[in-house]
Amino acid sequence: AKIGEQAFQRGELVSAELVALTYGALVRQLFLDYQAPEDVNEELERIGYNIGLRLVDDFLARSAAPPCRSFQATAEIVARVAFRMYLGVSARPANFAADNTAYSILFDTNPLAEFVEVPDAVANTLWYSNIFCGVIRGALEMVQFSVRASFTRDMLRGDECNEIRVCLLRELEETVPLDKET
Amino acid sequence: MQVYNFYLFSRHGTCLYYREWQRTRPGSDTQQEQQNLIGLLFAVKQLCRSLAPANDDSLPIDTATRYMPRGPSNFCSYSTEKYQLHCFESSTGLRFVLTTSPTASDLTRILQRVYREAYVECAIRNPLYTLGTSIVSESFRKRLDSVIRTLAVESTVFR
Repeated sequence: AKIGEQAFQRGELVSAELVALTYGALVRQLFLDYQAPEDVNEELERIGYNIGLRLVDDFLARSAAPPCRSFQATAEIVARVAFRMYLGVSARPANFAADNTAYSILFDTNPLAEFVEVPDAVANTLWYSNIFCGVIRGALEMVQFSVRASFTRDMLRGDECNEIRVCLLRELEETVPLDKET
Repeated sequence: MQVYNFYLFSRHGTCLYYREWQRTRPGSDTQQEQQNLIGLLFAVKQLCRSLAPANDDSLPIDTATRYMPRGPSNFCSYSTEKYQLHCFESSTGLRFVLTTSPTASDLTRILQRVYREAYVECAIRNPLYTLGTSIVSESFRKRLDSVIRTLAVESTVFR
């Protein structure tokens, strides 16, 4: 948490309200484009994935977090360091699966959902902040963990905290550089 | 200390960036050379892993015996009579390689700065840059040069 706090202080800060409003506009626009909430979820996840692929390098370079040697170690880093650094909120890892192939990230404040009221019609299908799941998936993929991340609880739906479940699908092996001549 | 060449390899082993400052003997085939280099680094990493003792304290107990350690290798340099090769590998598999005249000091910090100040600033944060393609940005070159220049300054101060 300390590393995240330091990196948070060092980084350039943007008004949380600006981000929240911009993100709201993005979600609204996706709704106009896609109509179905399931498609919006998917699209948000995809956008997040592309962000994650890049963000991970920014994260590693600026936070100087120690390398993750195992999947459990990523829980600690994502929750305590990355959430702190990029969102300024504290999150905690919890609910580790017995075989260490899944964990949850819990957090109580969500800067993206600051001013949000989700209409009743889509309240049970839309995961408003689904972009986080994509970011986590993209970032972990770059450090050789193929995961599936999804919201299981969201305070916008009246739950007592936000929960993102991260499941390990498989650990990727480093690819051997191919000899182009053969 | 003299600085010779710099290479940046992607996680898939393609060379994203190559720069030479001083090269007294021109390479005959740059592409072949780059391929050999990444092959070497890859092989060294595998070897380092398989030779490493299993009771690594940094690993959780149950995974230590099951797996070889994951993540970047700790291999950082080798040296010969004529030159020294420094390597830094990020967790995402990027490899930053620098060749210099033989020096005793560890240049990992410098390469981390290249990662932070050049690669992240000019490639990752550049929306026009597609991941995994070679870097043509002029500002990347400038930032790389300025990081390397501080190295040259430091080494003359400490001499």
